[in-house]
Amino acid sequence: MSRRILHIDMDAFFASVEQVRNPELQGKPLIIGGDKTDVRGVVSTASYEARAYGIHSAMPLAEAKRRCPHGIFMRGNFALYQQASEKVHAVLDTVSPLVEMASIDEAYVDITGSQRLFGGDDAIAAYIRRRVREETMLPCTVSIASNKLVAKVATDEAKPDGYLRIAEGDEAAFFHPLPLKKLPGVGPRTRETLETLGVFTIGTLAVLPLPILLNAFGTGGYGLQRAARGISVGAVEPTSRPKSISRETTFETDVFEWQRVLQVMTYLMERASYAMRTQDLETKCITLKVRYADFTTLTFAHTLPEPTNLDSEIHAVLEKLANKARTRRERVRLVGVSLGALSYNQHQLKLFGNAECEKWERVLERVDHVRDRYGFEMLRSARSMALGKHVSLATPSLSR
Amino acid sequence: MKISIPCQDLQDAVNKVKAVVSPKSSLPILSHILIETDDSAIRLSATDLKVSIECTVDCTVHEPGSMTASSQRLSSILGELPSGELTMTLGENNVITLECGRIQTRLYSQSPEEFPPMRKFDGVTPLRLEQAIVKRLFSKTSFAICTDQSRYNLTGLLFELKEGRLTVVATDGRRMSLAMETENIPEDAEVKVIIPGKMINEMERLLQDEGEVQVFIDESQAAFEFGRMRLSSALIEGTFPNYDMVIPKKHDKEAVLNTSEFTAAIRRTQTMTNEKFNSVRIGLSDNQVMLRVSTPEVGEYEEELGVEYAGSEMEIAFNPDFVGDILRRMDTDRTCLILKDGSSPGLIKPFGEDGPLDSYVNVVMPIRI
Repeated sequence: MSRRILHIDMDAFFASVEQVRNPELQGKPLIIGGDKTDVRGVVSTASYEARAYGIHSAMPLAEAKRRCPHGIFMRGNFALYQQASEKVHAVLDTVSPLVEMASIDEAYVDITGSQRLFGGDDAIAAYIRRRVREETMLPCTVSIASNKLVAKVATDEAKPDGYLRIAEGDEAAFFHPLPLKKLPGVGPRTRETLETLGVFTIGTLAVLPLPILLNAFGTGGYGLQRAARGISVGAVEPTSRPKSISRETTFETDVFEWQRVLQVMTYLMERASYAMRTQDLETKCITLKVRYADFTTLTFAHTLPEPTNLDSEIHAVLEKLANKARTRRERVRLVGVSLGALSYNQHQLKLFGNAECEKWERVLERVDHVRDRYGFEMLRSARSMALGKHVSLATPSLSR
Repeated sequence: MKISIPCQDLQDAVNKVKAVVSPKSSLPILSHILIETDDSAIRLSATDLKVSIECTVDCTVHEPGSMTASSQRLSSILGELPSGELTMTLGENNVITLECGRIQTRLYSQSPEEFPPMRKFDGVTPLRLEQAIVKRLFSKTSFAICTDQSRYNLTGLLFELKEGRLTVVATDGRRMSLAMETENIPEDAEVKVIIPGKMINEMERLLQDEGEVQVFIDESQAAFEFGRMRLSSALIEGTFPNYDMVIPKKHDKEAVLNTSEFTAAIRRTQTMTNEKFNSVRIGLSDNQVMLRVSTPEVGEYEEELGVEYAGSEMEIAFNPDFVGDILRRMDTDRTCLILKDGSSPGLIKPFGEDGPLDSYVNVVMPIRI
């Protein structure tokens, strides 16, 4: 028997959490991402009521306000969402040990081995939806299929507050009528190319002669067609680790004062590297992203000879990268820090100079311990303290 | 200047010296080879200002003098010429005429006066060593030389001669290799210098298994003369770490492995790692060693090997490249792994009839599990 994979996605997660917390918000267009006074930034989540106005995530806040002036705009409360997410995770853990949290509001569960215990797909789905509702009072959509890809697409179709089951063998039939944009991995560029080939639905892509695809996409064509046929082999990985960790923010107004750019950069770096250490990761590639007032976006990257998790080493690299970014005499709109090429269990010990590194590792371990208990803001390096005791960024990175 | 020389002889000589030429130098003359006549021979010299190579080759000198030629150009022309006698004549305006049978080529060149002067070692008494020994010691250690220029003092090989013992040591801060020889080493000389890695690499390539090498060393530079070659370079200033302190003395867990089996197994583990996840776990238990690699998105590898080991169970992880580099240069049938625990440096030595040998010592820092 093939695998049975369940995909669960919380409906308008951040907005729903707020609506549960404050019932007055129910039934109203609620937009999480920034409050009324915020002019920059983008929508993080819009409630279904707000979606009726054409508002969707990643839309600039200004645009959202134009479309829905009477909407309720909130900055959001990440800790609260994290709590709710953990409750959902706990429910999923009771169904199967193979739970992969794909993000804060969606997860994959391999329920192949839980079939007999619960009595089949439908029973498992009903159980999860009921338990999630009991624990969090939040709506969610669940779907079950033979692999992650089909399950994810099915969830999208069943939203909101729905359930969809794709039986084994029905994957291609289910995909057939759907438009291309529903297929994960097909972005605007791929779609454009496919449309010039006369392909507008997943069904057409599935039966397109392979040579045509190979000609247009190279070897990527194989994967594209397999996906269109609903074939995917990705396993549910309970301990999937991120490939990179990034933090970025848009300034309230474009900043010319370089000192402030550096302070915010340092602050973002500290947040990113704290997040990285809590997952026992180390970075080898450090990237600084700067968007200037004229919307030119440049990234500056540096690869270290050895991975590190020390703020001091990461900061030294960022300072060098920042000098390069500064050569463009233009006000800065956005600054971001990304820690990439993440690895774990790969810390190469050194013959000389270990003492200094280990000292800093011990210091950071204690610092992180305090942050775990009392919050990140409790301990920060002096470099970013000029930003004030509590940093409030114009666009709080909600998922961070 | 005018000379005649068999094509092949000149090509061999050019190939020996041209390795040091940096193709993208800011000084155009450094892409050239200097050719000077010397009785019935010519001397070819090339340099990147740090390392210089000179090579002498017999020829017929019709007219003494000197000239330069682009190393790239000269070597590609020579590679395409039919075998036979080549005549090189320097004409007006540094134009070199190459004649070989019915082929006539003119090569524009630069004035030999522009070529930087070669290093001089007047009044330095050379040390005399066997080429085979120097070659062996270099090849056993050079792979560990640091390539990160920000750690300048580690970018060379420590060359130490003391009390009739020649010791060479290289380290990149994560592993250290030391090779030593006591036989046929001058008793009275005492030297301790750091020779740049580039020079060592060239020496490894050019040294032969027979004959003698004369080593000239003064305060700031060193030269090795052997056969009809001379390599010279500035020394690396700075202090080399105290290598003796790095070698663990109190490790008590000793595992003896078959070198060729272990080498083959490590090579197999290397096929399963990637740039980000480059470690092999070595688990030791009673007369058994387990090699384990687990690389996300790539796969897993496990192999069990026989081992002479009586210590308590333990596990340690290493970069397999570091271990492989050493094993490839091991010339005993058995290799000894001396450990303490998973976070202390590992010691890899050859294992002879009476136990571990101190003539080749490798310290490898583990990867924290």
